[in-house]
Amino acid sequence: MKHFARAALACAAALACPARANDQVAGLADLTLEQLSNIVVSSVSRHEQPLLRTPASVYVITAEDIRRSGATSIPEALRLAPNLHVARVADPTQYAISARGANNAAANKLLTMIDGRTIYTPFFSGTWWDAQDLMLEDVDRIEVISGPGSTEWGANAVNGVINVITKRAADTQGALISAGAGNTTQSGGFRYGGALEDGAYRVYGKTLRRESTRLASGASSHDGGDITTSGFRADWGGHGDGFTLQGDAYSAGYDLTPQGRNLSGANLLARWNRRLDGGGALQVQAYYDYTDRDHVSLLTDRLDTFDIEAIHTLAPLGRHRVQWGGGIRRSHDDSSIPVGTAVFLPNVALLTRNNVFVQDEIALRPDVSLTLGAKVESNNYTKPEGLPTARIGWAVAPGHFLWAAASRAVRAPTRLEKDLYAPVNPPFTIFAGGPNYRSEVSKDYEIGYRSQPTSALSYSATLFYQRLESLRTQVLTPAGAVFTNDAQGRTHGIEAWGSWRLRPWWQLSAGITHMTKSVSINPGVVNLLTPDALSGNDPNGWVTFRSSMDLGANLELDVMARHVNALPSPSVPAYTALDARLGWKVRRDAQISLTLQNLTDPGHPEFGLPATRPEVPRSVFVSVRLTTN
Amino acid sequence: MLRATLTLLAALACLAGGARAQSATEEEVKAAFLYKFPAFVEWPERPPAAFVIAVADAEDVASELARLSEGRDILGRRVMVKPLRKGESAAGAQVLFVGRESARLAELARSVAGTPVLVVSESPGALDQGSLVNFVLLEGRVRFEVALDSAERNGLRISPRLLALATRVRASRR
Repeated sequence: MKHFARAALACAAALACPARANDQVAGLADLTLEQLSNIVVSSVSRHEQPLLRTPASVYVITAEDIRRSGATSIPEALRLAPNLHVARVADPTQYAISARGANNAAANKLLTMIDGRTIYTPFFSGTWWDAQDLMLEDVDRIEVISGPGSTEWGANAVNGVINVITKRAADTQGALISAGAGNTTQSGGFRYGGALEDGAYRVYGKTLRRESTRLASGASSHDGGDITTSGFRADWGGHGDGFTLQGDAYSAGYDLTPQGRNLSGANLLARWNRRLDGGGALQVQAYYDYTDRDHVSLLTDRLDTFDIEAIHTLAPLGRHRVQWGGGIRRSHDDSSIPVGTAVFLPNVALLTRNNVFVQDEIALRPDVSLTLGAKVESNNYTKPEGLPTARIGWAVAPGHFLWAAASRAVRAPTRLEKDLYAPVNPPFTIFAGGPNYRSEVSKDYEIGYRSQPTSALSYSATLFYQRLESLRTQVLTPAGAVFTNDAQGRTHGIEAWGSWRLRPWWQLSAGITHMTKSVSINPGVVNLLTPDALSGNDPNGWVTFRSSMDLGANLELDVMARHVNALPSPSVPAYTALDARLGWKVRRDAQISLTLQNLTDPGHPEFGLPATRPEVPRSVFVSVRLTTN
Repeated sequence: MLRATLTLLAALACLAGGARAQSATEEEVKAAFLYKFPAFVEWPERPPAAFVIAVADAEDVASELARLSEGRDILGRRVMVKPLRKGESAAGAQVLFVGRESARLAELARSVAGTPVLVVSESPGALDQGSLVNFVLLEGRVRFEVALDSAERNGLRISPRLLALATRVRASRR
């Protein structure tokens, strides 16, 4: 009974909040010490560091941003990040997404994770966006890091990292039903969250259908399809131990006449956090993930991955804060090309990836901290790769932070580059793998400034310079075409964004990216790859703008615009797109929204060759969301 | 069964409140803690008129604290939030908060050593510079570590309920 009395008291305090709904800060004063200590504040990265003082180019898309954008999928939500180039493509991989260049439909230098589980495939080292969906209402935030993150996240975090982080089960209690329909998209989902003995759980199910887009000629692109996902998450523990168990399963089908494409997969992840005496911490995480991909008559790929990692944060030692750990990943990949035009040798491969890392954050002065870190990662194709970084941050004045970083990152070889042969039997006169192919290397130098001079204004700017070495090329040899590392390049540019709360009910945000790239091929080498396969097809800049208004207590209006400069090869014209969303809170537990995308033009292409690329159409989407609390 | 149902309902209602506070910023939560802490400290004497919280080099926390404590009291006294200008001393304050960008934590803590002032900070290693309570971030949550020896030196006793939430407690010299 004592337990209940305490809960009831805590509750009475919590229920005092609605009365002060328009003054949240005052509401906090009514919470108990215990409740205050349980509020998750915006933080970023594995270390507990406030965003303002993170020495990297990080943009955080919040749950509120996602809701107010009207996005129905992860790639659409990623359009909110000013440091990403997001383009719809012809293949129902659906999207080309990258940071700092190197973008194409098989963009391979951006690492993507959901709750610490990599969704980056070792098949081509990129993300199959057609197989990723989740309940966007349950996403807590998406952290988008542009620039290298290899020391923390491993090989392939070359140009950036996307971390999708879902809410803790305790924060998704009660029932939620959402349904929406429009000319391009229909979706429906439910979630239910309940309490456990000393924790909480949720279960969800969602289905999303996309209509086929059209080509410029008016013909269908045959890229429509649907994906159904379901899953759960449970968090429990106390007294310094925290446990998480979560899993998802999906199945998807895409039209792609005449072939079609069928996908399915599932994953299960367990995580254990322990707080150690003296301020240290230990985290152990393991997951299993399988994906089954059948591009009818073109490609089948079955990938089973098992991954375990441990991170130990030592108790602060004087000025030092040391973290070390390691991980082991085993992937079992079975790929084949049914028609018999080419073959993967071996067609069943065991892919390994092991790493150890150590990082030390040194408080040189109260206002200056230096982070030195290194990871050594082995894979089954190359010798172990060293992935070091040095980052320094200086809190110039309260609310002002200057940082600089130097890092080395690599993109490790993949099945596609090492194991593809044609014809199916020797002699392989067409494709002959990449016997000497090794990692692509990136050396990055960054300097950034982040500021929050008042609680209403914040901005960030980063200058970057990237040297790319051993870039992928393909050359013709007497034995057939092989992958080699005969190109190098340079990219430099600026990323900047800011947001300004003009009035308590009106916020403006804007972002700009501008970059210059160059690539050169070694003298005497005749490269067979097209320019976009060599170094990506990137605009030299893009601009985003957003206005978020609360029109009274129950109405919200958001307007988003983006302008993307022209793409060089294949050439895509520059475009400007304008989206808007009107949300109406009918009751505390019921919301209706209307999302209009592409208001200013009937359709525009974003990527690909004129004959096959989809026109991103004007769209209308109406959705309803009901909750029990 | 009834008890289980009631607990569940209470927990659900609480979560509704928790969800609201979910989007709080670090500064807001720290301000709320600063407002809460005095009730969990045994003070040698009650302040004469106002309960003064001095804030050095943390404008955001100071402004959140001023908003939050408006019209409220601490231990029956009106709350006064006093931003400390350069060179200004913390004498007369009951709570002193020193921001992480500050270079004068050690100096300020020394100036109030031996007097009943609760020195709160937010910098790694601050307990060694004379702070009594130091905020840390743990898994995205604001928590704190406590130095009982420094508290004892300033004549303050910290309540067990507050200590129970500390990530680390440095023992008293006794």
